[in-house]
Amino acid sequence: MDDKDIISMYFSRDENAIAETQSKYGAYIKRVAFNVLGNEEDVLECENDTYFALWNNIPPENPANFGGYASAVARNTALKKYRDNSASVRNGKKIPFDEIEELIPDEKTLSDGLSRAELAEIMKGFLDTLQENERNVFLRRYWFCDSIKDVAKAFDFTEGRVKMMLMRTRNKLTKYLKKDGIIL
Amino acid sequence: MNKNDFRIKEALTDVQPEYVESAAKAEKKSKGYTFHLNAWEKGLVAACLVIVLTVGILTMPGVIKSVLAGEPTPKPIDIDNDYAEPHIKYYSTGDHMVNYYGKLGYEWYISHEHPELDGYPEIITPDVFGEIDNLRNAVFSYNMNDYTFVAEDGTKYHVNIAYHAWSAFQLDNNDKTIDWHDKATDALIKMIKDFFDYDTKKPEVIEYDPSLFSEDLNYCYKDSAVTFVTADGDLMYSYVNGKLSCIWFYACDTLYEIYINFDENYDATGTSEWIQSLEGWLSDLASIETAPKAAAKFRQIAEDSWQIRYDYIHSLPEWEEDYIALRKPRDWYKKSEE
Repeated sequence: MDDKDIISMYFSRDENAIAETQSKYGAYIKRVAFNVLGNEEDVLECENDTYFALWNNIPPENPANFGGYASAVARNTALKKYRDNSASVRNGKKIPFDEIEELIPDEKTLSDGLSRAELAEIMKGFLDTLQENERNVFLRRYWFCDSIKDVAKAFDFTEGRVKMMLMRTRNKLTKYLKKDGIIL
Repeated sequence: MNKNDFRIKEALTDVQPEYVESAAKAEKKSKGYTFHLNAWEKGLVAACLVIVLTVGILTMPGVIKSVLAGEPTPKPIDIDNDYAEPHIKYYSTGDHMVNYYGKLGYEWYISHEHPELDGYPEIITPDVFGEIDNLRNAVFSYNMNDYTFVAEDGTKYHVNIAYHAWSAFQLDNNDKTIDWHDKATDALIKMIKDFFDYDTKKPEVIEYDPSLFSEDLNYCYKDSAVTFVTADGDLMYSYVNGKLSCIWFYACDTLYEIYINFDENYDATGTSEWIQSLEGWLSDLASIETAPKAAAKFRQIAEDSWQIRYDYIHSLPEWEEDYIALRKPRDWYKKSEE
């Protein structure tokens, strides 16, 4: 079903919208959640929360890119859960998000006064400076939290090449943030 | 993770959705290498070309023979280039489409359009089908009847065979639908029946044991209610929501899988009988044949399923004008064996 039709169903409060979303983007949502959370129970919960959030947000939201919007909602939901889990690391489960190398070095200080929205604008500006390839690899690693191996497979690169690309992009990010005085 | 780093990663969620979408879909687009050859390397390449040409000439009679016999000869496929993007073919009737997805493991996916639904092809994008784990989920979502199988080198292949096509064709032409459905069903039953040796004792029923499966299988099949394992541990099959959904078995130390997906709401004539007979056979099932023989039969399954679709697609009137490249599964195995 076309995304526009699914959104229309949300607007007319037709509960089939959720089933259609699940049918079209369920696997996608699970993947985003699983890469952040790494365990099945949380993924299921996160998936349900995502549908609930979509139901509550649309309307008034009317996303132009429903797939991107749904996955962003899933990521937000997963990150919230990740925070909850991190507060009390449960059952010694590994948390994949923790395993992803840092975007900015630990010793750097990020201005406390910046809101998430402001940081997002900064990151948007940074992404605009990247070449398509670089940006895609960067987002696969840090947005989707795909493993290095998966990223390499997806782009038909060697893992070494992916690591190198990511390291260069991280360095660029550090410079970019430094230049604007975002990090000290 | 330090707090600052988390803030940046969190804020990343809100970046341009079009970039996120593009990253999700970006698959193997970027393969671009530049070769700089010195003199001796050029010589080596030239020598290889001579060998390839010689082999080509030697094998030509087989090709000529098939052309003379009037058999369509699949055009060669350049996996890296031809299949870097989804191939979507629309038939002139506009009522269905066939699409193939790039790279081994994702191709052979055949989908048929439901014009009555929204008049627009249901395009299943590579980011949904692009990963084998997600592919499993997607297969469930779309209620298809699929095989996924794994070659000796661990490469996974996916074949879709019947139901989606069945439901689509029923709308267009009942006769054709029934033919297609029966052929596919009969063939699949035969394949499965032939594959297993079901003369011996019944399988042992055990509780679902996550340790038997890799993490991703557990993830995908966490809803499986029961898993059966033969007494010698060679064969497993699983029920999802009470329906037989897949068969797993080991042969030659490789995990092979056959997926048989049923739509719970599917109420087409013949389907329930098929499920019953299949379940009946499987309930009598006990042991698997010796591993090498099993592997050989499994290849046959793949080839038979290919033949059905090959014959069917060639029977379409649009075949001549809208050529679709097909390869036999054995070519894949050849590739993996090489």
